[in-house]
Amino acid sequence: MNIKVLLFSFFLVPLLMVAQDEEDYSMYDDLEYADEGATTFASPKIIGLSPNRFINVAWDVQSPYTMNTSDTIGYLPDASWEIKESSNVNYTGGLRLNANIPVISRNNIVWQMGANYMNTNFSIDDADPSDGPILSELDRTSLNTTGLFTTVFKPLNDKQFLIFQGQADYNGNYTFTDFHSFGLTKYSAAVLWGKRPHDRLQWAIGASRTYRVGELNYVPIIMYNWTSKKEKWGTEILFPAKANGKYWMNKNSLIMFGYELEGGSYHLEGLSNNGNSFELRRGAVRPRIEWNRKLVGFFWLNAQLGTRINYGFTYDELENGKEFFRGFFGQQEIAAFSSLGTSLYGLVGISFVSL
Amino acid sequence: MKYFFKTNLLVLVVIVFWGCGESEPIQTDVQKLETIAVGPLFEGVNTATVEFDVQKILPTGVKKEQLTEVRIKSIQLSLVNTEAPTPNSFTVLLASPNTSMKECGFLKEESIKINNYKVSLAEEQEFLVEILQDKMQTLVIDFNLEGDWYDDLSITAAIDWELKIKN
Amino acid sequence: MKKFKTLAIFFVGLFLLTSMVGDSEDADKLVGVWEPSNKKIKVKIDKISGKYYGKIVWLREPIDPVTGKPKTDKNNPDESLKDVALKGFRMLKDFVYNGNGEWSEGTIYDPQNGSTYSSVIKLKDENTLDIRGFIGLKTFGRTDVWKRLVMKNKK
Repeated sequence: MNIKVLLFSFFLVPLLMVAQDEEDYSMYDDLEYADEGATTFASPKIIGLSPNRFINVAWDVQSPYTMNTSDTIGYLPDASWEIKESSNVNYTGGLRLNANIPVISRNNIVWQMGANYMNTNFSIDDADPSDGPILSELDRTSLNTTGLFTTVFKPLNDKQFLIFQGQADYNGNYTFTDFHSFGLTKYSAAVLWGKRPHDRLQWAIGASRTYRVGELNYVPIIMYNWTSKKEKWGTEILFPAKANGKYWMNKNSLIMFGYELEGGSYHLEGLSNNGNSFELRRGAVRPRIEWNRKLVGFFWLNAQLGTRINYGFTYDELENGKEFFRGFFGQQEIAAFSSLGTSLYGLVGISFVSL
Repeated sequence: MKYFFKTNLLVLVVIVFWGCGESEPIQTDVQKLETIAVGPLFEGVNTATVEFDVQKILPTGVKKEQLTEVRIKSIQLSLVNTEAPTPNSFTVLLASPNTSMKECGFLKEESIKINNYKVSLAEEQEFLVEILQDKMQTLVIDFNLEGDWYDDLSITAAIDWELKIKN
Repeated sequence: MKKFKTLAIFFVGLFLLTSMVGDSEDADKLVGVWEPSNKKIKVKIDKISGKYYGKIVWLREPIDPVTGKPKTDKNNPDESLKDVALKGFRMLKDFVYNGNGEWSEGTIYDPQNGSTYSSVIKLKDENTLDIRGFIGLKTFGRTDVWKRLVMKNKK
């Protein structure tokens, strides 16, 4: 009897369950919600967007160029200056790491936290401190950026969305055994409001506080991401920070062509005295062509080849490390100037992505 | 010590040769499987399934666990109920309890129109070994009906396997 | 003593029976027609050989604007399957019920880019699913809300 009970429990009941399962749907377009439909929210993506990098490891290198530097005596922003130091920069490059991890990722909100590290080493010919302090300081040390950032994408409805981005960068020629004051951390932020009219277009407008061109600035932003009907061509624009056209050769290979502004404000410890922060305001325009290629699974290769055109390479002395805003028209004194020859650059990286 | 290395080398050579043994094709009949979609069936996408064990078509003495290479040479579909509305698309899939369900092929509307029920096969078929080695297999045929049919619907799939086992 | 043994086995059997019925009933709550939050498709989830699979049964825009023909799985990584009709395509595969209203070990396919993601489904209430697609770790993913659809006269 006991065996029969067990047999019944194991075999008969599942059979009864299967028998109840029958197909009874006729026209799938004539259905209604069992309670209510889910709210539709604008997706943060569009069709054909370049892969979203969760983790990226890259190496960036520039071809040799000439660097001229003025004396550190202070100048008006539009003043002419004389060359005090001039040398050939044989090597400029370093490692770049970036992690962008979703904290909350739902259809009604996406919140990501990230960290980045960027290192730039200079190898400068005859960088003798007796000729001037700046080139030897750059040659002797390397520039580091260690940052934390957060991005929130909040759809307001099926078409409109808000994006907030905040970033804290700790920049300077420190080493990981010799940190400088964290009071010198640079904060950037951006807020955008936008629309996603259809699956192949999203645009937004907003404003940002940025160090993209070296010194602090406040600029308007325009985002315009578009993919053609055939899903081959498109644009990915976040003006003025970057603007790219794109062409999908196939589903595993993407060519992008455009430019990116890259820069930051770096504390140079060896040139900072009396509690002041001597800062290099470095900004460059990088017109380039970029190739993204699927390696395996969700791992992609990205390779860039382009030129690095100097936008700004100036130095400010921040009293007690206090940041100031010069903008496009401010007349605050500039501590020193540098001019850089244009160079070719290349970048190779591997990313863990989502499409 | 000298003999120790020699013995090890010999064992290694034996293992390598054994591992590189040529796979040998085995002959099997075309496997006919009758899938059934339990009616009533309504306009739209429906599914017919059948569970089977590939072991049953293997020659005596050959175990499915010995399979090293599996390809489908062809799948021919035929509708058992000729009065039923003709589906305008078919997708053929295979699954097993411990593997993922995979698309094996499909029929285009154009070939259905000319009564050609030979399935266009997927190029990638590496997954088949794992599926056939599993304890049982399920053949799934998804089809799109253009009208309602108030009875069961049977679709027969004749599968011509290309099977190889290790020597 | 023998009577006690028989009684004990009977109750163990009864317990197993009721828990299996309960589990199977809960597991089959996934069966039905569901709509993602973007409302572009309807997916019918059914049970085949003990696992759960979902196929697209309805598309809001069934015609490809470029070709003027019914949409196919044009982004399939296997070139030979690019002409498979999207209507009927199995985008949810191999889900196994773990209890507590959760199905895992499955995959979700995104026809917009041809990627297959690991996936886990959670039944939030009788008519709401949280479906998360992810890469490797659940962190690297996104959750969508799907709602149950029923025949108009079955409400």
